[in-house]
Amino acid sequence: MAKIISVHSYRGGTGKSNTTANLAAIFASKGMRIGVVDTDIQSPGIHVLFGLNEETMSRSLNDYLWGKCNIEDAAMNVTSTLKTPVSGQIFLIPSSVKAGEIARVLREGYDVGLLNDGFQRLIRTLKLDVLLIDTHPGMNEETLLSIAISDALAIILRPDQQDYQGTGVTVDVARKLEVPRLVLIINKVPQSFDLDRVRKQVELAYGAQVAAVLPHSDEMMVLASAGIFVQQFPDHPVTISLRQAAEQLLK
Amino acid sequence: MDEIMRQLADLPVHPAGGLTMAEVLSLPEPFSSVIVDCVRHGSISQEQIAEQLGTTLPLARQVGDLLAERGYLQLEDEQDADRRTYRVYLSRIRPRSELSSLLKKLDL
Repeated sequence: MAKIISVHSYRGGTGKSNTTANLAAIFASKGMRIGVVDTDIQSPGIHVLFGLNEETMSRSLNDYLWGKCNIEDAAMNVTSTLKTPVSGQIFLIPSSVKAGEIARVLREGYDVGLLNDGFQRLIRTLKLDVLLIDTHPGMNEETLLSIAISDALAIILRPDQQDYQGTGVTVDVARKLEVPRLVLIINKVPQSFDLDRVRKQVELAYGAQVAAVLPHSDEMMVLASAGIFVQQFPDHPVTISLRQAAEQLLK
Repeated sequence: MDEIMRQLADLPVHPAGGLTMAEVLSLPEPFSSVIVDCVRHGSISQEQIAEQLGTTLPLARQVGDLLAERGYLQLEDEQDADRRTYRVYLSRIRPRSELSSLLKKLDL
């Protein structure tokens, strides 16, 4: 049975899309069929990590939400964009990066029930093992829906007071929505910090499992979303931690 | 079960146009859980409602029908007379509408 995993953060810039893309690559390297949906309709970005741009994206989630195509028709097989071949497959359903289309969806809205039906249809038609949902940061209707329908939720946060408070809200909402599995991923932790201590403090504060503590990485900054980190740096501590997080999310 | 039926009778009739997720969250228990379950699985059967509420099938059907009557659930088209299934009708949304004001009402 397919798993739906949402990756969320209360604030922007936490590395949500990067984490989602890396999790997709890790799962695909295990031979799994992965769907990745960019539900960050207002500020899409995960397509960049798979080397796509406006010209190379033919259809998008927006087209599906406007009834122009089936959701699977908006899915792009991005497996071949990975630097190292994997035995699985990755299908990306990007959100439109065209300014007019972003403006239209903000102006007119969309049928959120269609989004829910679309996720189920994607799992069925693409025979997915995992559907990863890259959400818009903060709390809005599509975020609540994504959390509600997820088998697992990964909340990304940085060691920052604003992130800590916002994450508390997200954890409370996730608990109210009875998400079966909730894990935290702490990202961009300064290397001078004691990673184990950060993990313990956060676990104690939220009563939730920390699936990974990712140290700040210059290599990640230099890569600058121009590829999938775990493929470029397979032995890096960040990659090892992300693999552990992937294991936790599949439990 | 009497308490549940009393709470149900007190639920306001939801205006046409579908539920928002924030409204689902602000519903009293056990209705919030029933509807979240329905959102998660796409639909919810009379049996699943009975299991959630720890009640009998006829009473679960009564709860499902009353939630439908009040605009929180919809009966699925093809109905077996004895085995009803319900869906949630979610409203159209605008992504820019952040929920800070609604979240404040949820007492989280």
